[in-house]
Amino acid sequence: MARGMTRRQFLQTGALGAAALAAGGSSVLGAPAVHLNRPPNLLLITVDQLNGNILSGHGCEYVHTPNLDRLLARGVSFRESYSANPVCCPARAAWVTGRPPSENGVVINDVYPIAETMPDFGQWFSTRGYESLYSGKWHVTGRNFAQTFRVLTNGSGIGENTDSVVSRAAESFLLNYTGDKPFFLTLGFLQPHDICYWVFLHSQHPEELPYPQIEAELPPLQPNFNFDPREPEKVKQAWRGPQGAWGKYMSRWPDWMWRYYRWAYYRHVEMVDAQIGRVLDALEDSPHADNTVVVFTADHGDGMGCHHLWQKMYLYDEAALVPFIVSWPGQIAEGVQDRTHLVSGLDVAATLTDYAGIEAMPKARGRSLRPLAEGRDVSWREFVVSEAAITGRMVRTPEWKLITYKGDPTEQLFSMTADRGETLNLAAEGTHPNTIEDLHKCLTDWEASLEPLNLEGRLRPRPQPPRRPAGRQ
Amino acid sequence: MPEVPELAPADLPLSLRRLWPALRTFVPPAGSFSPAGQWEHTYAVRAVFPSGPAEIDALAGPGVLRLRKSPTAADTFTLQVGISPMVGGNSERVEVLITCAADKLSTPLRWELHSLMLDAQGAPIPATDLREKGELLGAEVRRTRTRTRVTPVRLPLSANWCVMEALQRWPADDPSEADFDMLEELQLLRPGQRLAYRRTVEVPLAAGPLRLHGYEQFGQGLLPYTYWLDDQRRLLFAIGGLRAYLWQPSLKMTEVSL
Repeated sequence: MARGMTRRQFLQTGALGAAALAAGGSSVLGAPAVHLNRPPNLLLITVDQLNGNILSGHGCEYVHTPNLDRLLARGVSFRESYSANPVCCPARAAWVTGRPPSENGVVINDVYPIAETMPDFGQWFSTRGYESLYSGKWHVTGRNFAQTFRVLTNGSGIGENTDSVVSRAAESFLLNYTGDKPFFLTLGFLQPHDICYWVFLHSQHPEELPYPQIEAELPPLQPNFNFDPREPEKVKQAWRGPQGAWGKYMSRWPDWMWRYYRWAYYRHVEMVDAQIGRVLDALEDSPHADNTVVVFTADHGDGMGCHHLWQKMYLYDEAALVPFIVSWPGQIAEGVQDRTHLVSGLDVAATLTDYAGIEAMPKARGRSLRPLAEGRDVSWREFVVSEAAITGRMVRTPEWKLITYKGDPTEQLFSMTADRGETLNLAAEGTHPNTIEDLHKCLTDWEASLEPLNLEGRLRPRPQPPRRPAGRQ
Repeated sequence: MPEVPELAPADLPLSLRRLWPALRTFVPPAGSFSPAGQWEHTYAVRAVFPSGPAEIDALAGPGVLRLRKSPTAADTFTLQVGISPMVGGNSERVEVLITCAADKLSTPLRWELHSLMLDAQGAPIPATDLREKGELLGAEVRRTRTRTRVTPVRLPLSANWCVMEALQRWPADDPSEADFDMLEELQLLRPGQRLAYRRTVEVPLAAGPLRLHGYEQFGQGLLPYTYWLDDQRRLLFAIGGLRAYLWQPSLKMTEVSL
């Protein structure tokens, strides 16, 4: 363990949260340029199903995201950022509580409600001097956001119809707000989530590309389109079985269909980029521009055909790696892409409370990214853990990724330096037993620091069959 | 009266098959139509899932788009746009008045945009009023509210509502492709758009066969978008991604004083 710390000490340091870190360390960039009497406003912009690499400013040459690139240019982008659990409800419950799904109870979509006594960040900020507002997709099982925030609009569950209303509501708020309190505004955009419906629509693929005009624009197959079949049984059952979409349809997709899917995904990303541009324009035109911290992230990514996969709910980087950008022009570094520090969706709450200058949320497990955004030299976590599908766990260090499902004999180990596409399962090769053992120790220590919620008896009946795809995924 | 199949005919293009649940009972407009003259179209804005228009409409109700054209001079006209989107709970009303050039893409020359948030009962929410003025000057869009924001564009420029108007004036046999930048909702820049005629199909409706002329648009921030016009050059349907516009003149838009 680096810097003379035991793993236990390291974990405890993480649990101390933002306050201690914010107080310590020297600033490479110097102190914040302005010391404000009033805490900053907070604007949390979230999108649904955006992989962390799919921004033109992050090097993706097939997508055009001038507005997210604008945000990149004004802040720090954490490129090694992982969803706490790459599916909507669990990822979002982790954002709003600062605690992993195994603790807050929302371990899968729409089934288990959030622990009733666990505060969410809307409540936390509202009771600490902030005007808390929400616009768009919420999707935290068992918590009515209207009892937590002032809701500007809740949308329809379809990105194409909802996102412009969300951005207009934000625009309207930012340009009209004259309240005495600092605001904490969270925007829940739905795109590029509509790609799920695109896949449903095209599951029985046509005989040929329906729009020959775009043939030359289709991106190539990803280098990790093919995958190492030595996957955990849980993954195989969920994604490779004969009864699911894979067995029925997608295993027969020709290459051009996978490429068409990627092309469509990029167009969905561009849709939400434009909506974010409307919000950024409004912020710039408002009186709040200089005193608002903007945090941008996504609940999870999308398979994009990598590993022959679509959607999310698994722990390959396509689903688990998400963008995480912090911006406060004039106050923190600008145009920085941080590939060094491993960060988590758990860090959203800790970062926001740190900037607000209020105490961390109860037992928040995340770390504030503020010291990193301010260029301070602080000790940082050596690994990050994500959860998936109740029993799945990912342990990610700068060099390695271990994916394990409790009770499942097949594990996956990938070298994240030599094989970023996760195409060779080194666990199945039997070549790195010590590495696997060490990663398991990390996981054991991490889990020993948690207070998992007993899920027995907490099952929430699913609502009546959603004949309408309500976008609640 | 001919029998209309419950399932869409397999030889229809995908965009029309997706609209089939609404199409099969569609009553085409009668009478002549002059795209260059004064007219008003009202469209239901519907969510369209793989199986067709979704039940979500029953929850939130369809959104409404109203386009109202008034010629003002030989080379210009005004396009008045009203939007009421399809969302539950708080929503919005947007009214836009655009002065367009009567050219191939109805280039937006000047416009005023006014939006307002409404509560679930349709009442205006205080302090949500927004007004913005815009104009196209050379190859720059200038939008003004608290300050003027200048955005370079590649000419020609159009807007999503302007495209819906312009297509109706295209000659039926025009095979040319239009390349342009699009200012969606007159705020969101979508560069690199291409629009061209693709095909004519005949749709078997209860009221008799309806001939439709299809145009397709591609570009940044857009899934393939298809526009369907009748023989009178009246735009009846537009669909892209999960959103469809269906010609429905009986639909009323809640009037809001803006």
